[in-house]
Amino acid sequence: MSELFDQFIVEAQDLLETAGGALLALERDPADRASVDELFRAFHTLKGASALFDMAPFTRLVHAGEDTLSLLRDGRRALTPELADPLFRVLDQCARWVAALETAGALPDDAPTAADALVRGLAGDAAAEGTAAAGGEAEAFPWLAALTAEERAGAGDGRLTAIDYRPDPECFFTGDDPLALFRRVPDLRLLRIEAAEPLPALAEMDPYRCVLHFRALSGADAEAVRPAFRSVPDQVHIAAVTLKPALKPAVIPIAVAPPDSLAARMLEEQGRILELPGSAVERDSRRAAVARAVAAILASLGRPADRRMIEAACADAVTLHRFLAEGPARPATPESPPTAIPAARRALRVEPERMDALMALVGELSVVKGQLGPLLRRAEDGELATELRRDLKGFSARLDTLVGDLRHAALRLRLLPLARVFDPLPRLVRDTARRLDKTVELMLEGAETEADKDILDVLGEPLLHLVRNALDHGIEPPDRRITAGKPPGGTLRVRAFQDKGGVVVEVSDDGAGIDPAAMRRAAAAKGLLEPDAAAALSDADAVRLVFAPGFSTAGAVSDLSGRGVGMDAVRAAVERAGGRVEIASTPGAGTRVRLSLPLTLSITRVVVVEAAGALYGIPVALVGGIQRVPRAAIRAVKRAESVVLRDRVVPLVRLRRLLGQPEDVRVRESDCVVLAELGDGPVALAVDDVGERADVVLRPMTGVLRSLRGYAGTAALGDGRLILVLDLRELL
Amino acid sequence: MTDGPRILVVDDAVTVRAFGRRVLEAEGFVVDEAVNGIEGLERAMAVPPDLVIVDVNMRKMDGYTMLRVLRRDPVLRDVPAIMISTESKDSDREQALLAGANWYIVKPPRPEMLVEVARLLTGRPLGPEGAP
Repeated sequence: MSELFDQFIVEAQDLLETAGGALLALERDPADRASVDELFRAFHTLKGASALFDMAPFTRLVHAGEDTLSLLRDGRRALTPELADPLFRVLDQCARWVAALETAGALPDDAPTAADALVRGLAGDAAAEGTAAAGGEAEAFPWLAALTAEERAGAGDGRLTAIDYRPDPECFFTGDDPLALFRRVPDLRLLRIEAAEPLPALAEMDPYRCVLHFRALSGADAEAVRPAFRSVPDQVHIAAVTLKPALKPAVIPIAVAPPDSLAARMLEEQGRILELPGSAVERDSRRAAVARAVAAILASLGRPADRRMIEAACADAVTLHRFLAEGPARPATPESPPTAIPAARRALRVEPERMDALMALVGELSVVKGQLGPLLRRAEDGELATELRRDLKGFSARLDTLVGDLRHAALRLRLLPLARVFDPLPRLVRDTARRLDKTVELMLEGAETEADKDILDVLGEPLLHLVRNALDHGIEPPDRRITAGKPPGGTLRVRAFQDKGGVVVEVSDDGAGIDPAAMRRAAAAKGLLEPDAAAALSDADAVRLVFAPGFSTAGAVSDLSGRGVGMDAVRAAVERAGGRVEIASTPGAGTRVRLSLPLTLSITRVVVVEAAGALYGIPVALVGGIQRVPRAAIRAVKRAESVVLRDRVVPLVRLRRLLGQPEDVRVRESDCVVLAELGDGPVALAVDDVGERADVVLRPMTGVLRSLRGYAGTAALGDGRLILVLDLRELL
Repeated sequence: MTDGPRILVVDDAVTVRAFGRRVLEAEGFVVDEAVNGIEGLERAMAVPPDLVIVDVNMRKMDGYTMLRVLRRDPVLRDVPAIMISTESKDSDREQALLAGANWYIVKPPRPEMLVEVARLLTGRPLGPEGAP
């Protein structure tokens, strides 16, 4: 059963993805039969699969979607943006539900009401209204979401009847007394009386006009409430609603903190924040902040929990409360088996052949390990050292190779296609362009390029940011594009490819571009640069100012530069992950931003070099070559040196000098030079000696070391020696 | 000796900032200040804080706007935030939470309460000796 359920989750995710893609394609070309069929099939399959489980609202919603799509398929309706919107909402809702099913194993409590509201939105006409009303419809009573804590407490939980009564302004003449009607409502729990329209000045007030709006909640059934309003059926809306349980400690005690303590109250508030209304983006970022706050509070209480578990629990207030009520797992004890927390389980889909490759290596490892026993015995028997040494050397070499292969195979398990970060883009572009009244064609290339899961996580946000920026500020509105002699629709290209052991993602648009002159003016006006210094900047450097901290935060500047807030944040995120950002822009023709990231965060391949008796690491990704250069080939002009390498004059920098170490006084025939390929051209780095290449786990500088500039972090070599890994961009 | 959690106090009143600095620094926090939302965002983007404490009414950019921008920022979106204001109405609290605050404090805050909230939101053990 559970295996079947897991299968459903994976299948549902696939189907929803397919459906989303087909819907986007269909919206672009409403006559696209293949997409209609694909979309219909996806809904149909999803309906059938979901019906196997106890998730009626899910099935009902998908069924309604299928009905709507059958109209499209039969040509009785065409796909308009107005029809696409509710279909997108259905897909979004289903995706959220699938996520909830994956983490919590069940649909959230509000699923029936949410399904009803969406079903109504799909039908989009009065016909559906009557059938859905019976199911309860919190959507029709938006004010229910905004009840204060006291009102909620007074209304109680569970099944209630909501009343929305907007009396006819002339009702006093027809003999209705709105307030009196409410006196006849059984079990009245809440009555709100508000002005239905802005009240006029007292002198202009007409006391015979009723301008009030009544909203109420009753604990009685809708059928018991209705008779009270028999005389005004056209002015009142009555329906059963379900109020989500008020989040009071009395209802769900928070196990991790004493009741009513500050910590408990703060945790409850985090639950409430999850319930606040807002756009998907707003709710998403609130959820991120809540997850971090909850993690901090739990850590503060001495009950730290796995961050991913907390993030899963922050799906909605009820889940979070359940999580806090049960109390996150106590700090791990040796007895507690890891299987005790299925909620945090996250599936990583792996291609079978990659798993097979790993398993084969594990098998090989046990064979190699088997050789160690005989070697040990031979050593104990006092065998000749030379022979033993030879065989041990072979054993060690074999083990080295194997460990390398294993590392590679394990890394490949974590490699995922960039499609994961590309997937939200078509939808983002569609929604944003529609909101901005722009026409934008998105071209995605290289979605199959692979990178480590951690890198994808780093990449996701900056990429969304760049795309949003390009849409917001880069691509002009159609009329301005036409004036500029461009096609009215803009083109946004997102391209990924692998390069030098890393992954590169480019976002380019054919929009307004960035005007270097405006950037220079803005930098001077903002006081970031002296006017002279600003004027001396090259065009490329002026454009690069968008990444300067504090530059793009001022509103006026962002319009000039064609870029919005937070480009420096994009740069910071990418550089923290060991990557770099470049930008190129031509005014009037467009902008291209290029993010280059390593393939994986966890392991960095470095060349070990020596300078003044200490070992340093240089990331292999930056090394273009290593060679010995005869002293005679080095030209010196004052203290600046250069060397001709591969027909290019390359500046030569001595690492000792860079690090403030004493000069090498030894007389040498030649220098050992590492050719560092930085964004701005190669630099020859002279070192005392070059050692091995090594895969290291880079640890960021902590404590007093943190203030040192020019280092990316520390790392331990295989034999335990410590090295400092250089941050050449900072140093040079 | 590593640095304590970094707290950014954004308030146009120098007294409030000085109060925050004195109270929080005494507890080992590293305190950074800004006088309005714009400066607050600039500080936060330059050195990401572990917690921000933001006033509501400030010139140039108010606290609500600052929190909204903060929550949209790819790096800073999850930084816990406290909003601090003289208003004690439910609706003001709601506004703060809608803008992205994780907690709301009515001015003037009691020092021990401010410290406890800061400890909770930065994952510091409660109590002077570090015992919960």
